[in-house]
Amino acid sequence: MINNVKSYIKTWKQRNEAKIKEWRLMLEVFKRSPLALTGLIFVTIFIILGIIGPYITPYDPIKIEFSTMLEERLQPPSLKHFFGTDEYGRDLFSRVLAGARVSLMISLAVMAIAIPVGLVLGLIAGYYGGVVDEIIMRITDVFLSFPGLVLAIAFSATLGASIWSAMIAISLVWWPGYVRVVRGQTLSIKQSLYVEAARAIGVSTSKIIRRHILPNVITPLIVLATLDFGSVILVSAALSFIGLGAQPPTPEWGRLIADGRRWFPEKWWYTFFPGLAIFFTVLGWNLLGDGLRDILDPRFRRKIEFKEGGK
Amino acid sequence: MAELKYYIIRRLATFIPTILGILLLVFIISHAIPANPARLWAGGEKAKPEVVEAIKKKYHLDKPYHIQFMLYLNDLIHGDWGQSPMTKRPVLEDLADYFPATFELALVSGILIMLIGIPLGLVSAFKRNTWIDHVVRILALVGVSMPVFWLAIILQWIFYYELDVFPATGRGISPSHVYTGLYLLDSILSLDWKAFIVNLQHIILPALTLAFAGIGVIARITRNSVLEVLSSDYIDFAEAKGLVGLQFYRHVVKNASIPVITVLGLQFGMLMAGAVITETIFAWPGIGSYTVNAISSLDYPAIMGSTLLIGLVFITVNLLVDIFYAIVDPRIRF
Repeated sequence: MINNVKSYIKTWKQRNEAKIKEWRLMLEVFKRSPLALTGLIFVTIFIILGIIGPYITPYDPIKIEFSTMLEERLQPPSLKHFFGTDEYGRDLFSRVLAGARVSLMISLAVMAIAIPVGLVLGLIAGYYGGVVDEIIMRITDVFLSFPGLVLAIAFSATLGASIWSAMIAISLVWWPGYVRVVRGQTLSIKQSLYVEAARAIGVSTSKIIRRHILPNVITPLIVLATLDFGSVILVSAALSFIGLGAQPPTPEWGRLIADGRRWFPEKWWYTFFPGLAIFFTVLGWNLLGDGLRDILDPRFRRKIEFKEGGK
Repeated sequence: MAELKYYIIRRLATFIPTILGILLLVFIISHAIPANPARLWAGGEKAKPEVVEAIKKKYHLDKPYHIQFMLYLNDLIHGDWGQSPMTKRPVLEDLADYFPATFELALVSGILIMLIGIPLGLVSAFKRNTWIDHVVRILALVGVSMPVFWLAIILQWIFYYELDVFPATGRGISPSHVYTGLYLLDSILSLDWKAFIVNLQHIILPALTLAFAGIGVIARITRNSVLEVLSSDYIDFAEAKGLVGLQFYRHVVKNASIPVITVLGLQFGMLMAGAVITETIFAWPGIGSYTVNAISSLDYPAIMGSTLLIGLVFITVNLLVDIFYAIVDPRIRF
């Protein structure tokens, strides 16, 4: 049994030698980029906090302690309350930690809706062309005729102020960008010789899409999605900031800044720390996305390979 | 030049269906998504039934959707963009009042982006891989990662509360004559220097906030575009020909400016959108403040009106950028 597995791994390694070499190279490029590594660290912290954040907060992020509210309200940062407290005496450090989950949830939901929609429509438009392509692309154009935030505000205001409506509104705004990228990539690969050869020997359309087109489309899509993760967090925070999106008492970073503005600048910590949380999270995603783009760009990878010589 | 003419005609031909699409999308958001648009427009749950009935009748909400859309288009063309329950005025009049302030803010931000972003990009291209280049790269990433509302508050903190060099809110004073609605321009035209200084002080913080993300983006584009031109065959040729100094740089700048100007144009559209958030914090009386006030008072005709206006401005700017691109770059005519 174990021998079987071993021999399977061995043959798999032999068959995929080129692929493994490529991955090693990617890892090498990644390890050399301090900015990308920093991004990865920030993003990892954000995701871990998004999962366990609400369980590790030193104080309850939502419940108001009425017994101690008066002496605890609007306290500056101290060892007891790292980020100070809000007007109800709640610990802002706990609220910021718990807020990671809301941002993570919204951005994951947006990606889970926008990417599959963009992928399917982009593949159809790019592969089949003709009237279908024309219709899909004209609809995409219309959505892209608005600055994303403005359209998200219109959708979200109409659907009512809640986290769910923010998720739907942002997803509705986000899919067209993915259609564009997937379609462009599909179009260029469709014309390549190996796809033509596959078609000539009678490989089925679904297999061509799965085996030849999809793997080439995924790479730019991953880079774009990583960079977009940050933008989605910014847009959802902006929606909550103007009163759409997450509603109190949900701890949401944009909302915290909006609430804290009333006490600014005397109680500066109320707006300062939630903003810092947004900034570092988005910066992390952008650094990671920037790094991934370098890694996944074959031109860039070759340069390093050649520089290393026969090593 | 015949080709160019055909390109522009073709580009204009796709412009019209896009406008129709924008109108249709705004129509769907305002008429088809809400369960009861009439109640929504009248101000939500607390609306008086007779007001809801009047709106239903006025905007033909009892008719099938395609008829409603036709009537909606008809209303828009005749200048009826709905009535704002918040200001009790026609939405189009409100928009006309608020638009110049937003336009002025976006314009000044655009100028700041050019004046700061392009030199930074040039320096980082000619000093590639030095510390300056790295600083500009990080600045670009910081710019796009910063929540604009937070940046605005921090700038107010530093420059108003701590240093007290710029005012935190408002647009300043109205110049003695208003010609265009752009206060800075109007104060120059009416030779009202006091108003000019005051208004300039007021616009600096919001314009800087709005420009912050764009500065880094333009610096990066300028850098990459200059590097690409420098590595091209025609620059090798110019060097081989013995061009030096000003003549040499003229070749570089001319060719590198095309993508920079394109992205600047697209950035201008984004500035109009960024203004929505920036204006609320600086109490800048433009479309953005208007929209956010409309959201808190559930004024849907106003929200839809400004969405439509921003969409129309955005695609018009994109159209102009595309045409400009085709004129300056002869390779782009297909």
